[in-house]
Amino acid sequence: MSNRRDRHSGRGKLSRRQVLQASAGTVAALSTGATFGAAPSPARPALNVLLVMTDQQHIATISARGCRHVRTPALDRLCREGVTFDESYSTNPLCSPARSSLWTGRMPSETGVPVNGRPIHRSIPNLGQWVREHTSHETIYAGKWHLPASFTHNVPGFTVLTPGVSGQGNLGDTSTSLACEAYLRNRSKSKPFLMVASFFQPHDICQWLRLNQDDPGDLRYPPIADELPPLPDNFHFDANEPATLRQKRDRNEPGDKKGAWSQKHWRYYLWSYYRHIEMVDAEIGRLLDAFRQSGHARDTLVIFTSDHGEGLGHHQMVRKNFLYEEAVKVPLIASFPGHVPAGTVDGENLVSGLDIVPTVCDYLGIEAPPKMHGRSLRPLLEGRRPPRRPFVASEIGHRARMIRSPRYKYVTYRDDPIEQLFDLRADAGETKNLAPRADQASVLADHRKMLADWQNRLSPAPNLSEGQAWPRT
Amino acid sequence: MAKKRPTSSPVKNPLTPTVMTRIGGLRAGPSSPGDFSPDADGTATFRIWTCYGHSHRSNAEMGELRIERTRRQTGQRLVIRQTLRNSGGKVHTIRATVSCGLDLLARPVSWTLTSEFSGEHMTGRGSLQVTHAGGIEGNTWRDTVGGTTFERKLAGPLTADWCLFEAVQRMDFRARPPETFDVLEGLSVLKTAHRLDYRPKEAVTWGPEKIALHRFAQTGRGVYPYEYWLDDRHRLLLVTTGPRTYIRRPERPKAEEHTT
Repeated sequence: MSNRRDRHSGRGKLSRRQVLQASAGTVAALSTGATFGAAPSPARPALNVLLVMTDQQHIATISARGCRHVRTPALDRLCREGVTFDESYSTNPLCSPARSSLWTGRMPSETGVPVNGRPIHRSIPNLGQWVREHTSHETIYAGKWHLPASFTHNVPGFTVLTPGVSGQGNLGDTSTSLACEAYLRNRSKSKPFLMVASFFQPHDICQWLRLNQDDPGDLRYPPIADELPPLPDNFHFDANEPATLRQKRDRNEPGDKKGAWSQKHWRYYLWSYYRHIEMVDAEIGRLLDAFRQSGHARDTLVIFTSDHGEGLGHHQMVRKNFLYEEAVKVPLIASFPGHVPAGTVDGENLVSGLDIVPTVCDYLGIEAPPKMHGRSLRPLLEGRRPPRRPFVASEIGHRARMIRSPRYKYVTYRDDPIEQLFDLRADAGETKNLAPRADQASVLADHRKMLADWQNRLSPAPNLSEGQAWPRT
Repeated sequence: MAKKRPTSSPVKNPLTPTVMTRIGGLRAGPSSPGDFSPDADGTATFRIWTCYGHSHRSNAEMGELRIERTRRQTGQRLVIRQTLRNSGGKVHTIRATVSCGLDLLARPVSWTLTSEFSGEHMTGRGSLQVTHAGGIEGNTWRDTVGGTTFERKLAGPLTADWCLFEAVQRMDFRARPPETFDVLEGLSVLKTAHRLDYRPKEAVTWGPEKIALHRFAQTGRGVYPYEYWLDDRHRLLLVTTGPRTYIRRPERPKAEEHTT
């Protein structure tokens, strides 16, 4: 079976090279206002793809998107040059599961990676393997992998420049960006590339939490007192939350048995997290400078995202692995100067980590691997209006499932009778659980059905035991 | 009988000599040669030791930073070599030669910098080497790479992180650098709005010894706060910055240096 798509019906089957050129030519035609599907320019080089990702980046941490506690010139520029999605969701707010979706377009319960430290099931190709098989692209990887090993040269389908420094983004991200810079500046340009730069920051906030678990009372650096960000509006939490959430909060550093953090220490944690964001922004800046200076900007699709978010004090949560917006939403920016409208914000369309593989395949002119649940973002990026997606889904191992529809968010836990339903239009901070309210019963029923239908469409990984799988209804 | 491993637990406090001693990061006492002078030519070598946040788990030496200083007629020259142990047996080496001023911040004037990789799992792409030649003229930062020069405007006083390692040793313990300054980290990425404050002498535990050290604290955008720990002779013994530390190695006797 051919995995190549004939975009121009009636022209017969195209060779891979022709498909690549046709794809690039279509993009060029759109940018000049020519008719969609006009003849491709044979001189145009094939498209490159640069995927940049961070680890544990809260969505609202980009200064160009209104965060005034951080300076992110590299990400700001990417926002100015492309499309930013404000309703972008991870498939699982934990490293390995989320990454398994980013690189396969499948849910973690399908990839065999419901928790950290498992490999993608051998029957499912990752993006590097797929692109290497179906195009002539070089497939290059640098930085954290975590499927299963975090920092490894064994990344199937990719040539690894460097994995970085184990467990220390503050050191290893510099190695990652400099290795990528050297590759971009020195490459022969005889072949197009798919490059992944996978930075580890701001994940080092986990070390910060362990190194600052005790609240000292006074600020260690008094000159920063005026810079401490305020606590988030939804700092407080619902006493009737599902038990899983309460237990998670109690186990984390601020809930240590020595006593809760003072507001000042919480604010110092926020200040520190933003410094982590600035660290990785500087490395992304180095990478993007090299990318632009080496002449790749006009023929490269750049996609930036993160695997999952960070609690950042909302609901008094830190870290990840829960389904509040802070952990499950992720930044997503796509840039392709001249082809994707610059400085655009999409605040309406629900998008998912599942969409990365179909999008890249679409731009490269190849079919996506089978059984994709994601959608190509290309129509959205190019200003077309595809049908709205009814919902996106997220999951936590076999313990929890989430459905986010245009207005509501529904979360249910396997071993907990308390469900959560939030009206995100009226309550963006998820402070009022509507699930127990009788007047919301039909909304709740609709979302339960959405989840059941969604679960029935998934193909659970064959290596998951019954206890590790979400029950079908 | 096998030696029992210490139980690991969260460190809970920022890294200081006392905390590092508690978690096994500092074992021997610091060496403080009696003839140390911050104005003399010399070489400082630091172990880059990192902490994963647990007391006795995943804490490791990840590389080394070596700074050789030579005083010149109108300034000073720093020769820098940093190695970082990347996973999988790969080593990332950065070499730089910097001409810098004798001002309070040891402001960098011109430099060359080369980054390259060696060791296992090389990809057939050479050493992934990249070389930059940089310089500051007025408020312009010029960076030449691959034969092309790029310029960027600077807002105010500037130094580099490696230059500060030298500069803090010549700061008066009461002195204050300019109100704020920018830092060219690794002579390549700009971090803005930094300041440096002196902290009074403080008693600490360093391995088997109890000593008192002076400290400068640096805060600013894009970094963990840095703390520079110095002895009475202004010798920089330790830099702590988040989970990363730079621990000064004892200098070899001069005679030995000449024969190796």
